[in-house]
Amino acid sequence: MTPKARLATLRQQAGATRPASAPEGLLPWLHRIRSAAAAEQREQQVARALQGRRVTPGLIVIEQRLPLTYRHGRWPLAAATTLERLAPLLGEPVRPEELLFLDTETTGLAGGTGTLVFLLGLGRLEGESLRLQQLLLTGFRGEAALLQEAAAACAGRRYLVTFNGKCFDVPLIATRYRLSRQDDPFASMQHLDLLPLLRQAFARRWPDCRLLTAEQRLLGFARAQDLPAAAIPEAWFAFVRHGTTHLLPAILRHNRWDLLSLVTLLPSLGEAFMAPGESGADPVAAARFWWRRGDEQAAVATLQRHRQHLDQTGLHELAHLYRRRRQWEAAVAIWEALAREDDPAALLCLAKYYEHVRRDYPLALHYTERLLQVADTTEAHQQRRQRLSRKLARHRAAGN
Amino acid sequence: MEPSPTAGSVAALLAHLRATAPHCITGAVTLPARAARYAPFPAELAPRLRAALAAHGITRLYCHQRQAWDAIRAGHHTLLVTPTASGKTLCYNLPVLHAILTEQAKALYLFPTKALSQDQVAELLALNEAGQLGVRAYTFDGDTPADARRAIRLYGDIVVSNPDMLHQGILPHHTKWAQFFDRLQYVVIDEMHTYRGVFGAHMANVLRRLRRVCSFYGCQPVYILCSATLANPVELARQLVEAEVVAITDSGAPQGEKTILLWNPPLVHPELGIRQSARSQTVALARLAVSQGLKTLVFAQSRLMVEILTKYLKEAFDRDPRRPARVAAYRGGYLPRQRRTTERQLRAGAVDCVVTTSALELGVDIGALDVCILNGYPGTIAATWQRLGRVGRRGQPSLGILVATSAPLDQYIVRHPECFFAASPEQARLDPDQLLIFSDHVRCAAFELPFADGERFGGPHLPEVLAYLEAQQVLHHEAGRWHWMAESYPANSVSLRSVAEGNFVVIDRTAGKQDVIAEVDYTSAPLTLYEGAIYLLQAQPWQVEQLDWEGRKAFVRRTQADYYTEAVDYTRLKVLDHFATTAAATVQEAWGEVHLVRRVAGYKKIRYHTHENVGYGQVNLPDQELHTTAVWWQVPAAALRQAFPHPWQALDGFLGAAYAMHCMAALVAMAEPYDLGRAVGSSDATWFVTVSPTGRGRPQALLADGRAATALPHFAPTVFLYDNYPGGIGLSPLLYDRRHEIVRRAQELVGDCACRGGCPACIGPVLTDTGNDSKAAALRVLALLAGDAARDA
Repeated sequence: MTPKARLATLRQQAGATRPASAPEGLLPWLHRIRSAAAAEQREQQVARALQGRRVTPGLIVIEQRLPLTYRHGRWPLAAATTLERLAPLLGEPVRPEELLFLDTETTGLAGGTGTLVFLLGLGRLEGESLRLQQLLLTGFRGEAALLQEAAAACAGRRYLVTFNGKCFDVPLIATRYRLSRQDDPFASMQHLDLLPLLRQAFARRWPDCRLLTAEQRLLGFARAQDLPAAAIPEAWFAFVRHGTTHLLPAILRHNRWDLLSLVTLLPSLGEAFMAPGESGADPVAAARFWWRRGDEQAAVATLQRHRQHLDQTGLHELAHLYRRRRQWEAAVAIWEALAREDDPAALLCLAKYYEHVRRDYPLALHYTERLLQVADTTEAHQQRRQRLSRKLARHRAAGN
Repeated sequence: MEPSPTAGSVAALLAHLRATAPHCITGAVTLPARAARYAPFPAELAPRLRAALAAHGITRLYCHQRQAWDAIRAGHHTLLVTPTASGKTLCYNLPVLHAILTEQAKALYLFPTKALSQDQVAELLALNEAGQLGVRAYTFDGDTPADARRAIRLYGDIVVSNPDMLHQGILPHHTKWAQFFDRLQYVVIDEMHTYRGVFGAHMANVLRRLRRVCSFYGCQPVYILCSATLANPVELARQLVEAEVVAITDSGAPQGEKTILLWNPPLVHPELGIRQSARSQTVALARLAVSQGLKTLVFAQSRLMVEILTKYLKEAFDRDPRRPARVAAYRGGYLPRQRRTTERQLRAGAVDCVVTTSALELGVDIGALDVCILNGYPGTIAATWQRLGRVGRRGQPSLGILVATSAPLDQYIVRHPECFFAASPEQARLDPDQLLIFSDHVRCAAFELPFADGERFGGPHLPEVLAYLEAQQVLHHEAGRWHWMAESYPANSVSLRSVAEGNFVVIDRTAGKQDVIAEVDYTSAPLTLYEGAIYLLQAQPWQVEQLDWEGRKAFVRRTQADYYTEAVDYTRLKVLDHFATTAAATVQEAWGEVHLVRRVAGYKKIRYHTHENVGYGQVNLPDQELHTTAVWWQVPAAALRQAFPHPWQALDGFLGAAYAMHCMAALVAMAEPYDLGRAVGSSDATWFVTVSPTGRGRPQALLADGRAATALPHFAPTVFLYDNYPGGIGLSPLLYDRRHEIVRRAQELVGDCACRGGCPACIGPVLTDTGNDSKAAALRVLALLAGDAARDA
């Protein structure tokens, strides 16, 4: 028995559940692809069909320019160049020409050194157009060139924009550069990952924060006959192994849509934080976003604007901001409204306010008593009552 | 005249035992005291390190520590085989710390288990603190929090991990470890002797992958291996690192006089060979030692036994709750804080007796103890030494007692003290080119870095395996390189503890739970997980309620059953190829490739202690096929006729002989009993012998057409011992090399057993009322199998 046949037998005896067999017709294709001349001819054909060019063995580059008037769903690409929409997310003045949009298609989600980036999609805003560049591998030999091309595209770009790139694309790309012994040009760039921001704004409003959900709800874009992400690795494998090209356009289109969604998601997310009501974003989350950015004024303004729609958490948040700003009347108004519905936290805030700010002990005691009626009797509350009773007695004694 | 020993000394206890229970002591070995032999610090040793050692009270080295330094610093792969407590850790910590301080080197420490690695880091940190060395040593294992991992990868000087983590967590992500690999100078592999059999074959391949990744980063680390005593440590080390190693075996550490007693509990039922339980003897011995004021360490085989022994000893010594406890338990499963407390108490001498499992076998500093009692043979002589080595520091006399259970290996070992004072009979064997294991690691390696045409990796099979994996559609060959091209992460589906996929998981559903408590190899599942089987884990019994063959799951429930079960299997073997043969007048021995078909048809229930057969169950499982390697002994028809007037009498003897030989083969090969299979039959699969449902009274030897095989003119029964894994695991060549020794040891096992007609400690469970003298028959068969040796005698 040859080692190969032996291995097949032994695997079965060891309980392997997948039968070992090679598909029919594999070998003829392998012979064809292995002849270099045939491979080149084949790649040229594929490149032409995809309206790209074969840059080097194993790498096809597809370029496309879209005018900024082009609409992706409800959004024109030009929105990505309106600075006031970008500023909140980027936090510093950035010119649109400094942005680089990136999305990859890979041979799997497993990560690690065995996962290949076979399609690298890049988007750049250049003057009046968006330049899309898709670097597609037709095999492994083109990878070094792909990485070089990508490095060239980074020139002058300071800000990387991705969707889940912090966890997935960028570490994977770093691995590919390391394996190819090239310097990783992305490592030194600033990186804006839109997924965490999307989660911040919509996690409490949407069932999930996948890109497809964002497209439907935020961009007003619906993909027609998209190749599902899960089918993409297998489609590329089929191309490399058997030369089946019919799914390549669908892969490219999927990646292009990802890129266009990235470009339009950037301003629409900026707007969601500026005007959460309009986009259905969570105003509390938006306020927290501004607050974390150090813009207390914007946080208060956001909550004030959506005062009617705030739930208890939102109202407390707003009252908290008022208290910080010593706008006591506004804060007390919120607490009193909540206290009418026996909200324990509001009662506690009022008790504290009347005890420490107003030194109105009878009222402070009143709210503490109410608190003890509606909330679980904790030791802290009990102590507060005792302390207030004592203060009140002393106060009365002094007054009398 | 010797001064009479004072009470409270080891000598007094020894004298007492010799006077009161001489019948229990089947052997005694005394190792003389040895003075320390020192060597100076190497001149180039970093001054800060020298100061840190001084702060720890170390101002010079033992000579073997200096030898290790010289070899390691000269760039040799170095193997350390010195006893427990001889300062082995410093042998590698010294050069490693020096290189970190002076050359910004990095080091990887590999321990077989997580617990061990944590103890090691604790020791390193102590030295680090003492000298304010600023060396960063971290454990990196499954428990390491995600946010700490990045820091460890970037800044760890010493990364302490285990083979599983290297295999699944580090190598497949080596690019994230680039800074580490750029400067990796030392790889320390402690407990090397545990890398044998299946685990060893995996480890050898994980190390091949490590070397491959290292060469990608241009580093060539020096390997430092530490091992317990074996018959072949250098061979094993060479197989693991695939290079020459310098062996350092002569310890310069001082040793007090050490006496080792082999203790066989007294017989209570000589007919059946039933002895008093090891547990009761262990408790009695520990009570005696503790009451004489000796610090005592008791080793048990399972966590449950730790609790039982602790309970008995606490009843004796800790009855008064107002006084501090004198007896403590220490085992895995306790919280680290609890364990650290017990360790501290031990070092301070605040506790008189500790009951433990292998958790205290190594690493942990427990201070000076006087007496070590082993409740049962730990399974290997190497582990026995490691446990016995835990007592008798500080040059004081010490005592170790091995208390035998009624298991065959225990019984054999206590009757053979030469196992302890002569060269170790244990050979650790691994087959790094085991085809299934090798191909799994080729997959993992290809994921890590593409293979180049003509690249060397392991044995001769690489090109074929690569081609096979391409046909399997996980690799893609292009421009002279083999690339990983699949969505999966192969390391996740490769367990270092089993051969290939297809493992069964054992699921405990006691009290509504659904906990996975174990994994069982596909090959051994039919023998251990049939419905009705008593499945033993850590010596605790579970009963298999349901076996989902397709889903590879066995559902079990805790049981109080007073019996264990033994599968009755019908195994037909067919010899496919002879790799080596020898012939004598009464036996032909061979090693070769076999094809076997095994069916588990039923099982026996055997009551503990009395070994009565108390029931029988049917099993309905598909036949299993196995291509593997085997060693076998065949008795020619003529020789058999001379020894046995009626051939059918011989069959019972063959079964008993095979049982004893199986035990002894496991001993010399350091294998678990289930790593090997045994069968008695013809060598062409025409007939086989099995135990009948009612016992072994009427062995079946039927031809396919139902005729009795004994009627065949060329009736030549054969004993097979085979590697119980598809493709073999490298045990059978070793067994063939030592075929005479296996038969000789089996003769000793059976011949010296105290029972009358055979018992589970020699030839396996027998029925008492069959009238057959199975034991005599087994001995007669063994005499035939011994061949020339028997004829000469």
